[in-house]
Formats: sequence, structure tokens, C-alpha cells
Amino acid sequence: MCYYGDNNVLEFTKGLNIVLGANGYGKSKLYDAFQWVFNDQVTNSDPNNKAGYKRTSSLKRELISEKALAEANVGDAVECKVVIEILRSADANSESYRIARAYTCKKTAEDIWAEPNESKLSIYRKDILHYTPISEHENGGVLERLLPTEVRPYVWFQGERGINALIDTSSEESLKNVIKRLSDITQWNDYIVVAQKAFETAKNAFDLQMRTAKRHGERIAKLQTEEAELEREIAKYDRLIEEYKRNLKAAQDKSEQFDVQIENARNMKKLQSEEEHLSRQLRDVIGNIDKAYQNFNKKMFSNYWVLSGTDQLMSNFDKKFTAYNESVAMRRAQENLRRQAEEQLQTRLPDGVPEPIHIQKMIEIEHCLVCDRPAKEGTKEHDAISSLLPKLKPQEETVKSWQYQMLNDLYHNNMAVRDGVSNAQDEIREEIKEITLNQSRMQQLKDELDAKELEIQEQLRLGGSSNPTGIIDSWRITTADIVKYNADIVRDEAIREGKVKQLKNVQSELGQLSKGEIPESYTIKRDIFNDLHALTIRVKDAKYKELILILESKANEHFQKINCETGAFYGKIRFIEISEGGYRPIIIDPGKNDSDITGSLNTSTVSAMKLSIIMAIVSANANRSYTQFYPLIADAPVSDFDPVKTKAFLLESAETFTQSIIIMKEGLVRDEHRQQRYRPEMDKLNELNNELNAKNVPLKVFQIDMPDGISNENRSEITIDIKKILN
Amino acid sequence: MNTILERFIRKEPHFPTMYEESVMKRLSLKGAYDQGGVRSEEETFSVGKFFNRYYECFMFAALVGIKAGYELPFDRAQEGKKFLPVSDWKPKRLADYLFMSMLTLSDTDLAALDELDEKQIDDKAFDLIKLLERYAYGGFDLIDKELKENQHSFDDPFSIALFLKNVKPAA
Repeated sequence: MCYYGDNNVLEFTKGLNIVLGANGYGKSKLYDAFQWVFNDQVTNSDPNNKAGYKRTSSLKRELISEKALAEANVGDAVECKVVIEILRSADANSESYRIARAYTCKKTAEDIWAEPNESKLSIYRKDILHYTPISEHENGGVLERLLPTEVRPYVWFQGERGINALIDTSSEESLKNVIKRLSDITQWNDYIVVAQKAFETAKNAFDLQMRTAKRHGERIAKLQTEEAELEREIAKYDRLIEEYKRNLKAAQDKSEQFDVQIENARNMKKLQSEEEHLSRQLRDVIGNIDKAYQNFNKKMFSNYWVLSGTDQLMSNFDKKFTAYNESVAMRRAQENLRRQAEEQLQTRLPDGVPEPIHIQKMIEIEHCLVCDRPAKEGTKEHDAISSLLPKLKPQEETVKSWQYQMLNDLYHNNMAVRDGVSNAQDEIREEIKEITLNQSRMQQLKDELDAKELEIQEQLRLGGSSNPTGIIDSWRITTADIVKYNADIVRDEAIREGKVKQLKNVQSELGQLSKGEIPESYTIKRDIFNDLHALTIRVKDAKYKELILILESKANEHFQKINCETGAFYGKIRFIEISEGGYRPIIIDPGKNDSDITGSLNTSTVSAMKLSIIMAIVSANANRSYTQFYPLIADAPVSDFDPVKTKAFLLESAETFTQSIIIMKEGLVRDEHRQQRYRPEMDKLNELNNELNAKNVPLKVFQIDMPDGISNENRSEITIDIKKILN
Repeated sequence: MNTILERFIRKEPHFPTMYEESVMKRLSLKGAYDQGGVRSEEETFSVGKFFNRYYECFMFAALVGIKAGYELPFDRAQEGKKFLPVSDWKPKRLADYLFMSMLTLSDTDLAALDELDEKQIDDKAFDLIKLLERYAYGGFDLIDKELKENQHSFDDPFSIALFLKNVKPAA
């Protein structure tokens, strides 16, 4: 488990204590610590396990911090220990106790552990100054005194699953159990049994006397046979009706489970769709980042960022190229001057005289037509004529500049890359900024996704897994069963009613015939005990109804306070009798003829109803002062609630219980300054604190935090920090 | 008559074999000696490399050496391994830029180039290739030192840009 080391101390105050922890930060483990000390068991987080608990013998070293286990060397012993110190309250006649439960295992070889099956419970009582151990056989008694088993489930509960297990809106049994546990109602069952026995004895005596009657003997015998037959028939219908009711109850229980399962499936679907949406966003952002990274490295070359810092070379080349240009120009100029000088020295005919066509002809015929002399090829004369031709051919390049075009291209190449080089650093900075922004968005989405995943785990833990199609099919069958059993009950109750009437007539006639036949005292005795029996049943019924009304009224007080601030419609809690002594809580709409609207309400209102009933069970027992003696310890009781309702619930708990410890994730938001961490919403906590101060109720708030850099993924690194946020 | 650039780009530069593992393969895709080893940017990025081909890594090393003004003597025959000729390097403007850089850094008399014959031009182009190899050697040396100092220096996707930015320019 995530509590590592020996500095995990929480000092709770009288009043309201809130322990804030995000999903996966060890909230439920803290709740488990209480459970473990008192019951030697913790909540089974396996969603498929409906039993809900796991004992030390099956947990063994799972109880111990994985970090501590990972750090242990061969030969080391590692211990998990929870100590609860209960201090004597100044205004009560109580004692101070220190209760410690410890489990130790030893590493005997790599990956081999010696693990005992048992944990060790030690209880210490405080005398004036010191704690001294009490003897082991007293342990159970002390634990029972500190928190009676019958009260335990109503003051310590965990999440929706825990609340649903306590208050099952389809089950008559849950309230029956509550009344039975928390009142003296069971003694009336004894009175009923005694009255019944007395009646049976008186009736037997009456019947015996009647058989000796002299007159109407035949008629009396016939009536007695008829009476016995009718009693058997009524008993048969009682059994049948009882069986139908059992079946009906089982079907209703099942139907209620479907409601919860359908609601869980709906919640799960919502969470899964939110998770899918976040995953899609994350994929897009990661895609963008990947693309940006790819483009970034591509741009190193395509945008010439890679040349950044070499600008000087371009300037130097430009200078060289300019010098080269000048040198070529200079050489060309010199060449031109030379040519011009040559042309000025020209003594022969000017260029173009004679016309080239004539020169060509003279070359061909090897004869000068200007001076009419032969000019054979190879002779001086022929060369002189030929020399007049060069102007007709392209002028030979006498200045060499082979490289000019190439160097000029290089010069233009520099011009093309220059912009890229000079803007490189700005562009790089912009690009990195953009990617960094996307990275923080990615981190934020990852955090949100992790939190969503934990919410899904939490939903699985609280609600179990669901198969929506199977659930709907079974729900249809169950609904049809409920209709059938109800019809069976109505039919057989009508038959039974008829038989009861017949029986009364028979008994009345027997009573008439008994006059003057047997001593009157037999008849009177039989009738008195019959009435007494009926009376005890009615009194028990009335007492029971009275308790139910008190419970209902208290539950509505809490319900109203939790809901009224929200402004939303919430109705009224009503306990309806569905069988003798069996009540079922529903929510009615006073504006619509008190019709049952439980099924059409959201889970938040139904949860508020259940929490209100749980609070009422404890607070209605004013004589026993449960709220004064026992602290409310609830893990994730408000996961369905909005912030307004959460606050109302906290205020109501603080007002109802002398001490309450609420472990929850509400009130935490993502910490913008830390990665994957949360911070408390101080303004909301301060607001709550102010309201509680006005009522003179102290508030203490803790946060279960994790040091930076530790991830839930690596459980062997997990440690937590307990921070005091408000005192 | 070929220009000196035409001669230059036909040459196959050599990179220092000693950095093949520590730098070339660390920063580029393996087997990217020739165009047959061409990969998309996605593939390069997906394996955490910066360069698609060895020549990109060589160009980067050369520019690091040039920026730092840091060249090292390099016996190409003994210490080197040839790879893709400059004509196959892309983008072409960068290859031309490197050639321009060599012309400038070697302080070549551009006018004198016009007077050289074919053989002399080829020799000169070869000299420039060897100069480029020396600067690349310098660059590889600096990258290698950085990696030795911190093996995660180039883990970050921006690291080649940041490394280049931090190279101290030649005085």
C-alpha cells in the first residue's frame, strides 16, 4: 500500500475533518486502515468481488508498502502498523485508548517471504499519564465498547457500494434490520408469542369442553371440523402468500440491483466516452507534436537554419566574387583597348569593304578582284583576303572566364539562402515555442486521462463491471415476475380473506352454541387471550410505525438540508410498508399526489436520500447518543454530488456528528505549477470554514499528496505526504 | 571545359570511420549510404534520429566545423570511408553553399581558376573536397565530445538546433 515510512500521522479534531486525496493517492487505503484495526479486514477492491472484504490471512504482505518491500534486503523484516489513539473527551465519562494492529513479514530469500496468517492487535489503556497494555482477552470487549458492531456499519461506510449495501431501496429488510438493531422493538415479538400461546391453550380447553356438550353435539362437531379445515386452509394461504411475497421481494431486490447496475453502466459509459474523447484529443496533439518535430528537423535543411552562424562566409565570397568580376571586367577592358588600338592601326580597307560576298568569292576563285592579281591559297595574298573575313565570324573570346557563370550562380545562391540564415534563430524560437505549447497541452491531457482512468477504476471498484445487454434482458424478466407475484398475492389474499370471514362465522356460531353448554369462563378466557394476542400485534405495529415515522422525519430533515441549497427539485422521503414490518424508502413528489418518483431521479438525489437515512438512523437514536460517541468515517460519500450539495452534506455531517472524518477527492483541482498533481481549492475550504466557525464547529483539512516525480505506475516508488491544509 | 563545381560535385567525400558508430549512426538512420536508404521524415523521427541519410549528418558536421573554424588533419585513405557523391546531396543549394564556403575558406584566387587546365581544375576541386572533409572532421570531433560529456545531449528533438546555436563561432 502507498503509506510508506512512519510519518503518516493524522490528528483529527472534534468537529469536521476532511481528508482530500485524488484518485489513486491512498484515500481508500486510509479508510481501510480504520477497518483493519477494528475488523482485521480491508475493502476488496476487486470489482468482481461482491463480498467486499479481504481479511489479513488472504492479504498478507499486500498490506505492506510496496516501496518498503522493494527496499528490503534478504533477512529484513518489514512491518505494516496502524495505530489509532482515541482520546477521552472532556465532557464524557470515557477512557483514552491506543489501539495498534501490526503485520510483519520477513524476506528470507530473493522473492521469498515468510508471511504469517495473523496480524497482531494490541490495545493500551491510559492511566493518569501512561498507556499500559490491557490483557488480550479484553480486546474484543474494548473494541465493541468503543464502537459496537451494530452501529459500525452506519457510522463507517465507503462509497456508493457501501451506502447501497446499507440502504437498499427495494428491500424491506434493510429498514427492518435498522429498526431491530437500533430500538427495543424485538421485545414486542416476545409479548406476541406469549399472548399467542395463552390464546392457544384457552382455545384448546374451550374446544375440549365443547366436545362434551349434550345438545347440538352433531352441529358442534361439524362446526369444529369446519373450523379446523378453515384454519388449515388459511394457514395454507398464509404460506402461499408468504412464498409469493418472498419471491416478490427477491424479484424487487434484483430489480433494484438492475437499477444500480444500469446506473453504473450508464456512468461507466459516460466515463468511457469522456476517456475516448480525451484519448482522441491526446492522439491529435501527439500527432501535431510529432509532425512539428519532423518538420523542425526538415526545416533545419529546407529553411537553411543549419547555415546559421556562417553569414560571414557569404560576405567574404561576395567580396571575392566582386573582385573576380572586376578582374574579368578589367581584362576585358584591356582586351578591348588592345583591339581598338589594333583597329586604329588598320591600313587596309575598312571593315565591310568589299562586301563579304565578294570576299568569299575572291577566296573561292583564289584571285583578288580589287587589284586583279592571283591570290593562290597558301600565299600571302590569299591570307590577306581571308583576314578581311573575321568580322563575319563570332569574335574569339580572348579573355578566359570559364568559371564566371558558375561563380555568378553561387553568388545568387547566397542571395537565396541569406534570408533563411538571418531569420533562422527567430524562426527556431517560434517553432520551439509552438511545440512547447503543444507539449504542455499534451501533458495536461495525459494528466486528465490518468485522472479519468482512475475515475473508471473507482467506478469499477464502487459499482462493479456491467454488461448492459444482459442486464436489460434480465431486468425485463424480473419486471414480469414482479407483476405476476403481485397478482398472485392479490388473488390469494382475497381468497384468504373469504376464509377468515367464514372462520369468524363458524367461531361465532360455536360461541352461541356454547352458551349454557359449558362454563362461561372457558369462552371468556378464549376471547380475552384472542384479543390480547391481537392487541400485542397492534401495539408492536404502532410502536414500529412510530419509530418509522421518527426515522422518516429525521431523514427528511437531513435530506432537506443537503438538497435545498442546490435549487433543484428533490421531493420528500417516505417509508412505505410493503409487508408486515417491512418498509421501503422512496422519494415522493408532494406536488403530484405523493407519487413515487424514485426511479426517475438522478443518482445524486438517490444517494442524498440514502445518506440522509443513514444519518437519521444514527441521529434518531437520540437516547443512545450515537452521534456523540461515535465518529462518522466516510470514504467517497459525495462522488455523485455537485459542489453545492457536497458543501451542504459536509455542513450537515458537522452538525449531526460530534466528530466526522470525510475522505474525498472533491475540493481538489489540478495544480498548474506541478506535473500530475493536485491542489486544494482554498477559497471553497475557507468559505466552509467560515460557515462552520459561525456554528462553532472546528474544521481540519488534510491533503494526501505525492512528492513530485513519483508515478502511480511504479508502485514500488510510491510514498505519500500528508499535509495539513486547514487547522 | 568543366567548371570546378562540376568537378567538385562528382567527388565522393570520405567521413572519419572512427565516428561512424558514435556520431553517424547515433544521429542518422543506419544503412543510409545511398539513395536506396532513403526514409521519410516520419521514419527518421520515429527512431529518434535527426538525419535521413549519412550525407545530411556529414553536411551538419561540416557546418559545425565551419562555424567553429575548426578543421582537423584527415588521412582520408587510412581513416575515412567514402559515401554519396556531392551531386546527390539535397537540397542542392546547401551543397552549393558548402562548395562556396570551401572556395572562400581556401582563399582560392577565383580569377586564377580561369587559367587552369582540365587536370589542374580537377586537382583544385579535390583539394576543396579534402578541405571540406577536414572541417567535417572538426565538426564530428565537437559532436563526439558533446556526446561523451553527456550521452543524452541529442535526445531532445531540438538538440541539433541548440547544439549548432551554441557552437562558438570562429573569431
